[in-house]
Amino acid sequence: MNGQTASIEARGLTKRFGDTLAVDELSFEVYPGQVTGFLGPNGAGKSTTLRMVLGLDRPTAGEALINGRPFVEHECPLFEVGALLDPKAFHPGRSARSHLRCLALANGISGERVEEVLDIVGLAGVGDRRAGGFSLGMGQRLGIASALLGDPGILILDEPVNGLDPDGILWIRNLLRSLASEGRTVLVSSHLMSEMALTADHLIIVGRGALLADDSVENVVQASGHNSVRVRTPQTDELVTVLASEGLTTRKDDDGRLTVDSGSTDRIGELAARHRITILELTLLQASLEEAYMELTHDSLTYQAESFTSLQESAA
Amino acid sequence: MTTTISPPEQPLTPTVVTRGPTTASRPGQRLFPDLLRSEWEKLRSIRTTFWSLAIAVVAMVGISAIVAAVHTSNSGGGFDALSGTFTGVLLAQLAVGVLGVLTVTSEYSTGMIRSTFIAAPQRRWVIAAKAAVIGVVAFVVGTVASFGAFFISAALLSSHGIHLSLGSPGALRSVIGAGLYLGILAVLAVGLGTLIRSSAGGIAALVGLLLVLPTLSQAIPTSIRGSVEKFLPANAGQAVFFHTDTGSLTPWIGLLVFATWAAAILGIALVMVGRRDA
Repeated sequence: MNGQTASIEARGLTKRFGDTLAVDELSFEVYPGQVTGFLGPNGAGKSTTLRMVLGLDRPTAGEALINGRPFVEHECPLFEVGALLDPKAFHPGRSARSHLRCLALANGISGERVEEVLDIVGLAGVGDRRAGGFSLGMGQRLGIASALLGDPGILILDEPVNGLDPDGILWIRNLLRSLASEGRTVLVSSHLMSEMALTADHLIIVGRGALLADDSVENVVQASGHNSVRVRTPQTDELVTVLASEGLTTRKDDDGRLTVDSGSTDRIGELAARHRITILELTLLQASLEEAYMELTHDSLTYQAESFTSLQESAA
Repeated sequence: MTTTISPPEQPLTPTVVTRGPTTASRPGQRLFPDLLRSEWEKLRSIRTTFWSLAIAVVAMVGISAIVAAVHTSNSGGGFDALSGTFTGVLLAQLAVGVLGVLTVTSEYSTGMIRSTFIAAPQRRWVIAAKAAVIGVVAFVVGTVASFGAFFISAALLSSHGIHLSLGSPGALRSVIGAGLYLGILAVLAVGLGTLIRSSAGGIAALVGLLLVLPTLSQAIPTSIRGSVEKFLPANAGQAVFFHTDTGSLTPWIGLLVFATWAAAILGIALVMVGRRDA
């Protein structure tokens, strides 16, 4: 992409836990200067993938590289990668300040920087309180503070908005956008398409451990092919007949409008004109990212509930 | 440990994250000293550390005083009195051992271990740094408590006409040996904690190794029991301060055997921690 080199690279990454294939030959590249959303339903293997990228889990096969080398070969990794995997990855008996100092010292990072990151995430006032008493949102902020300690060029965050209140979600979203705009690489996992629609520029979508899509947000929406056209006409029945003869299926909405499942506005407009049908409204309904995601991951949900399937069908 | 890494490029327009000049500068190549500092900060910022060590000190000094106070009812020479001085180590070893286990297992139970290994993926060095820090702390605190136990014992015994001083045969060796025993034990406990990863399991293994194993050895046929028993970790290590006439190893050989146990357990732990998923 634009001749840039990938900051994060997965090559045939595979992880098997006993009989379960958690990650299945996953290959992707993540580039700087944008927010890359790592999407998939729960159980799709997102966390396992990130853990392998960060050297916590050993891949069964394949490899993951950070700036061209496996994570574990970096001697002071906080300078290269900041990571938030788990909002509670600290000892509850330690203060936020001590927790950050413990991590900073391991990479020779100064106490001043600890104060800086406490300030950035807004925890300076509670730095000496036991982290065990923190809310989930404060825990996330502490995790982000530790990710920022080395002022790294790459940030990897696993479900950072999970369980946050709207303020916290907005804060994370803005932070991720500004980190990317500073030229950093931001890889953020989520099972929430709606959140990624607002945050990400690029999407890597996985289901059952395998890659489903690796493309820009717009392309993912377009490729879903789920565009439909909404028509309002006083001659509803006539239009339905005309469209049906052309092989177009329609649905009648509650308010009397028609939704045509496929076809372009041009074609429908011309058909209507040829049959002298009055058109009052003709709108292209673009598939939302949510629908594109649903379509992509539909077959790969590990824990698919029956009610969920029917919900999805009624929405489609 | 000698490869040089060039710093990553600074962000183009630092706005939110890097306010003003960043103080996150790359250090020189001082991996192990950095890890020692990190582990020292971890150890001293947890209340468990303070309480465990306080219990160890109180146990050593307090039990020594009690034993000395009741010693007069027994008829014994200087060496029995000397052994009695270190009775408290039997309790202190549990406090120190539990602390050693917890320095590792509490990281696994809280999730801290993932933060630790992301900051320092050189897992073996991390565990080695943990063992070094807790080992030195346990040795220093243990030795101070050991001197305290010795002097309070000597003072109480002298009022009953029993003379005990650092110049007595084996006295200085026993006092320092008790400190060394606790330091080595802490290292062994870090090894157990790293191998077992759960606090309950690690503590159970510690108690099993120190207290249950010597009892189980009663099942060994009498003909060889003596030669096996004296090599068990606790029996071997305690030979440096508990003087028994029958069957135990000589003091320094005993401590050496104990240190070998600790090194072996830590060694296996270091191999395993690099192989397993964190």
